[in-house]
Amino acid sequence: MSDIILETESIGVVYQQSVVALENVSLNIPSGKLTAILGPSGCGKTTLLKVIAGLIEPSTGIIKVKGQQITGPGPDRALVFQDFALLPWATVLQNVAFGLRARGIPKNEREETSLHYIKEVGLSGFEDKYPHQLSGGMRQRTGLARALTVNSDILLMDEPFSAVDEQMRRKLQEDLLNLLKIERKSVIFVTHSIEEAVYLADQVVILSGRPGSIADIVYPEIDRRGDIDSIRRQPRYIELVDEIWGSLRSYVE
Amino acid sequence: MSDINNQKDTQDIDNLGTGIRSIKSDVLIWRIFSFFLVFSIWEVAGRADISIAFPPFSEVALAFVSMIFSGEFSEAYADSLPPLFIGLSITIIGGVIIGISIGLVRGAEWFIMPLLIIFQTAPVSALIPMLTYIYGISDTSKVVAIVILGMPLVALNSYKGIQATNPSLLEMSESFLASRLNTILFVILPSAQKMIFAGLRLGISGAFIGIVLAELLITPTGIGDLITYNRFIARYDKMFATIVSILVIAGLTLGFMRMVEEWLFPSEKNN
Repeated sequence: MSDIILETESIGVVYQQSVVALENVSLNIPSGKLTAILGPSGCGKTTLLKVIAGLIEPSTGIIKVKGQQITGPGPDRALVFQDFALLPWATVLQNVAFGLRARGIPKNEREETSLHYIKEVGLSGFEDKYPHQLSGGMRQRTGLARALTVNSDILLMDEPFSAVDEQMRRKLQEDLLNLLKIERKSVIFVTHSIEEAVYLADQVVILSGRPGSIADIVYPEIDRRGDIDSIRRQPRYIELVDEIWGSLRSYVE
Repeated sequence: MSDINNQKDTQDIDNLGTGIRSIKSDVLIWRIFSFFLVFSIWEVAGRADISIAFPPFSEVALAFVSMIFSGEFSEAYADSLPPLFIGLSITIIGGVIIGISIGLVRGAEWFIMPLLIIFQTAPVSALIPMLTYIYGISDTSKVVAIVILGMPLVALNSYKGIQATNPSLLEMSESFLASRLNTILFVILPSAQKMIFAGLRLGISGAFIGIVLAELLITPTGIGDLITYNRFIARYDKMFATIVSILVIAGLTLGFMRMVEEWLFPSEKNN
């Protein structure tokens, strides 16, 4: 097992004193790997991600990044949003540079960094476009580039590809795997898609529904060194998708 | 990530953009036509001998020109414009500041909102004669009349604009470690811009209602007096010319606001 970069210790979230969204979630996130948080809708997986991001304060439990307890958002974590969360009045370049601008990085420097990541996510030539001129896939590439510019070790992705169509989702998944070969990030990826979780993740955390708690943790151990096209044809991939569906089925009622 | 799939989409949207721009040049023609239509109907109706108090457009236009050169307008507006200018400034600056403050500061909302809602919904013009008792026949009453008719609209719309900021953008800003000030400057204010300017346009219209009402009801000076006087001596052409002159000035002020908005926020989204 590799190093642990982030750990949660018995996280619980209670809304309005009575609605229990999360219960006793203890997790270890290995460094440099992709961890998928998988569960039926309403199981609190986005809540868990926002707790880890520091946007929601947990009712119980603590979160440690590299052994240090965190109390809010920090430079060690960057978020990619389900609804992209792009500023509609700002260009791709301005959106990508937002995190650096918020940190007071001078214009030349932040644009140089942003242009690098715009190129890396495949958006070269679209720097001056506005979000409404982009397709869903391109908007999420913009959101991803924005998260990369701030150079955090941990990338938090909240159902990032759920708002795009199936073909685009596959393309984005492939591109993400390729990108992670270059950028050594520890990724926490929230999804409701079993296929997506197995395809992308080194560790799949399965949450049960209401209140959300860990039902199972699966390690796909799929060989991703070769051609990424072949992943979906590996017997191990097909087996795992079936197995996870078996354990999730009981929660989807 | 390598290739780009949606070049075509983007081009389509660009073409749509130029389409909209060519429609825009047609808009001017339609606008001129609409004015022409209204003036023609006015001319016909005026000549139809409905009432002596309703002169045809041509007579009003002649009176308008003659009043410019006779100095009647300049004399009246010398009385009306200074309080209008002061009242508008207070309406705009005060309204935006109050609206933004109650949008940003918790608690301020409960403190000021009820007052604003009352001022927005109550027939405020009924309060105007009362101003005479408080401020007498003075420019102060005019300024107060303008402010109570204009400012609640500006403040309420600015407040609503701030409140309508997409919560997801606020989370995004927080997660990227933006300070509260940076969040306000880079996220909240640009997002509220359209509502704020919509409120300003409404507020300016309210301010013009305020000055005219004040001059008709309280202080017989300026343009209000010019309207009353000409009605009294049955110079209806001049009366209508005065009313038209107010419409022109209100229109110019609103046009100026649009220019300011375009200058402050020259964004693609405005197209």
